[in-house]
Amino acid sequence: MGLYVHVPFCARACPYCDFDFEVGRDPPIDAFLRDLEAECVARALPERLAVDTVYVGGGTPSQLGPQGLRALLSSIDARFELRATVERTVELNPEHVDEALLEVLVEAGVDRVSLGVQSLRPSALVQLGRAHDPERARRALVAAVARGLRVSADLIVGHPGQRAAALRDDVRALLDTGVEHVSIYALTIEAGTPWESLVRRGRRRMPRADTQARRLLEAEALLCDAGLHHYEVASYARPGARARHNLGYWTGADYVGLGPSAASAIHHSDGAVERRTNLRGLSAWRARPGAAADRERLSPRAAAAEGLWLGLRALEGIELAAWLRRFPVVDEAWVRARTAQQVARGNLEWFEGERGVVLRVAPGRWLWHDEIGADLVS
Amino acid sequence: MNATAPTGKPEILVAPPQARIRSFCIIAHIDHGKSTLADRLMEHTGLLGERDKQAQYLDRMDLERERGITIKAQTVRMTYRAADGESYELNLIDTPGHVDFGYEVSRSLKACEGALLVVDAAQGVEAQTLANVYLALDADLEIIPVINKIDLPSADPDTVKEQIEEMVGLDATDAVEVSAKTGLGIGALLEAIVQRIPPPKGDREVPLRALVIDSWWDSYRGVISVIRVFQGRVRPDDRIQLLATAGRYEVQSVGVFAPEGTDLPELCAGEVGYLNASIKELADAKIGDTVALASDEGATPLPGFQEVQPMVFAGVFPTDNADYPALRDALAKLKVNDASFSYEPETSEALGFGYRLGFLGLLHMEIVQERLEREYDLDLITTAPSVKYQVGLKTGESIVVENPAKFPDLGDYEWIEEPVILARIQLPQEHLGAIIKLCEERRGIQRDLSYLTETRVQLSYELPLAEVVFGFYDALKSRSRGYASLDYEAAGHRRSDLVRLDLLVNGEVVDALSLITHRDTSFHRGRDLCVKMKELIPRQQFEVAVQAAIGTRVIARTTVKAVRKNVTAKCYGGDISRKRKLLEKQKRGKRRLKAIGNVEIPQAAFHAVLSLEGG
Repeated sequence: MGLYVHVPFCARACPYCDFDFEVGRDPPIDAFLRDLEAECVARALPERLAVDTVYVGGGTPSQLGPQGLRALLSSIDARFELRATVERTVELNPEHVDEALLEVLVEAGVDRVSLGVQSLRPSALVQLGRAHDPERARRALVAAVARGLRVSADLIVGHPGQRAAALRDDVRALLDTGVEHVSIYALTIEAGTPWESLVRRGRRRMPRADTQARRLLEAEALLCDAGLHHYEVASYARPGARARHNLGYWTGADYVGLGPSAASAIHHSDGAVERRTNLRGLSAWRARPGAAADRERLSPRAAAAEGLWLGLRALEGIELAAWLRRFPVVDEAWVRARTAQQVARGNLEWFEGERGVVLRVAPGRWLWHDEIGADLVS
Repeated sequence: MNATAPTGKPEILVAPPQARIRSFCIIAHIDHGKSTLADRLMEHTGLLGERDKQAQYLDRMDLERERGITIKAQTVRMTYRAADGESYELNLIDTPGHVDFGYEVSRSLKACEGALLVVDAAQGVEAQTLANVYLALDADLEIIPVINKIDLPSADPDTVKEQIEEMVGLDATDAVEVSAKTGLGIGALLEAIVQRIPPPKGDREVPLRALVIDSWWDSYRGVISVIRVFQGRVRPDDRIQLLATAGRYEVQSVGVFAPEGTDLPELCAGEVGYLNASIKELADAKIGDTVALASDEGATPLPGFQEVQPMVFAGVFPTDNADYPALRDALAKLKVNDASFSYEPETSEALGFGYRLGFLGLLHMEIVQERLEREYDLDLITTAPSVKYQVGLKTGESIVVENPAKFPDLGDYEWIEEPVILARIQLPQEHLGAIIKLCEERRGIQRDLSYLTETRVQLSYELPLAEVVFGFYDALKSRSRGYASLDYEAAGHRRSDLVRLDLLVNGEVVDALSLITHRDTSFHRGRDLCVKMKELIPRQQFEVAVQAAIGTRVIARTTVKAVRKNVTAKCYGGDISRKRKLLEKQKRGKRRLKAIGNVEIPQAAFHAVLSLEGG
């Protein structure tokens, strides 16, 4: 069981972001903790529910400050059974990282941090609306590594104007700090974000898909050359450094999401999946903390189709025998029929692994993951 | 003879003397207020209450309401107590408003003695109205000019009257000024109808002759026809015959729409109303056919009947081949409602199993396609329309080809004849040069040029039907700023030097994209088509080569470059439902794409030829 807590506060809005957040200087931490508790009660979550992974994301969790984070983490500790956790991650903005903050995290048992670095070039950071400068980001990463934490950094690639050399410098500078994990996202402009309206007013350009494809492949080459493993569409890790909480999303782990817009999922032994998403927006969620904006129950067969797509996010692929045990309602013939078109197109491939047949995304074709997914789920 | 139907409903006269019958239609440009005016007349005569007024009652089908045009005629009976103290039977005969349905229009006009020419007081006379005005003049109808929307601040009735006199050649001194929106002037209009439109003629005491002006399928009662009785009378239980099809039937009921169907004891010479005679097939009650009594051996038909023939053909295929049985069932059901299209099975290498449909024209084609998609929830690919060619093969045999894909290869035929039409185009003189140029580009042969007024010209051109089908009407409107009108009639076949132009996608001929074109223009068409295809075919995972070829000779080529990625990496904190729904949406966007090999081709590509400018 994974636990996700959404902290919906940010100091400012990033122009590309469509996650759920509120902008404000002083987040009302006490009220937020009361609301989280109210959600647990309204959803009748068992006291001391045992969880294996914890992920505090946002928004900007570090916007809470050392005292706020300490309060949040201790209230999670009080409400859930964390003794068996294998990973506890908190997302941080580089400009918030200092010794006091890191001290709070380590004391609270946090072993992993994910930093929204996005770029190490001043002009790109301005374009992306980030509050930190490259030096601040480097110092934050180095400090977190030095404190003994597992450190992951996010990079956004393919923003307008980013050249291959800039990407190369970013990746090298990032790896020099000692991070064990890197997430690579191509900049996507969602409807309704400030970036989109700037484009409409002729003030910004849209990123170009072809350039982004080049940048993504270059990033892959640089990171793999440096010894990281491209284990998931957007994720690279040194050996043993994979993000276990996130892997759980793709491999059928149950999870509870708390806070506005957070998602939860329960998987049944026949393969069926039940999911819910909390109300979006702090005030809506606070008014009805137990209410769901969206619920769905996928039949075992629909869940299997979706499970193919999700399982294929892992680039090592799906070990068929183990995968079929999760979805007893389907068999190998069903999987082969469902994937035949993508195999014929060269996007997917079968091969003989150590533990039997494996289905995976063909090398380089992860750039077509949405195309593959759309074909598999519908 | 002058009794009224004994109900609480609107008063309906039964067989009034002909002196107290007026039958008329409304001629108007699409948005000049034809339907609103009809509603207002019905309200004024007590037919339509505020409560049951569905806006624009006459346009019954959803599709018609959405497009703002009348496709199937709907005819209503009103009773009007005039200033002279007498009650009059008014028959408002609704007419279709598009050149595709020209024959139906001509039959509807036969049922009228008068027409209201409705012109927008602010916009003036629009070109599209004129074809119908001239049809009405040809039919010797009394035309009452009606200036509508006089409540608008921009209304300029005097200028519009001058325009009517100049462009239409009608005396507009007594034009009636109304506002269908506010009801202003409707009383005066009703008086004008009574005073100016002549009553019908026709002996009621001789054997029955009635003209079928419209027919449709009613799922409860079978075929319903609207008829105009020219002589004699028809009553329930009469044995009748339809002369064109030689079918014999027993009349179940006759009556009028007021606006709901109301049965009457009889319809007499001069009257318009419905006839229900348990006719099982719509094809047995053809528009233009003559109704006579079955006992009337050797009865002669009323003049002017024509078999309506499909002029334009197109392949219709389900995007998902599994929907073929659903398409077959939908066509069978639709045929019950619309006897004027034809269909037969067709197989395409590219598109699989489907049907080749025949239509009266392009609008008719769009309507049928939309009804199939909307009423039967089918996703369809239709190929570019084509016409019917006569081909003389080298073997001496001659064949008819209505599908470019089935057109014989270069060198296998001696001659080709294509259908031609005689087009009558009326236009202001200042656009004459542009329109002559257009007709010449479209391989037209000028037959006549005459001045209707000092500034208005009528052109007659013999044009290949295929050229008219491919966007001629749009080009005509754009080059005359909307002021040219077109109507046409079939004018036989003529020999032409035609070739089949094939399109190849990644080296494979896509049979459904083949088209027939004149040899002289084939090179340009091929090049333009390749360019258009490049715009229309979405970039995909692989490079797509598009070539145009005549026989084995490639005459043009373009390449659709591959797009290099389709991935968004964000995982939304485990919000998999949302991500999956986005993927499903992406997939749905592709439902209207037809996969040909690895290449996904959108519907628009099959119609690319229609959007090419000229030859």
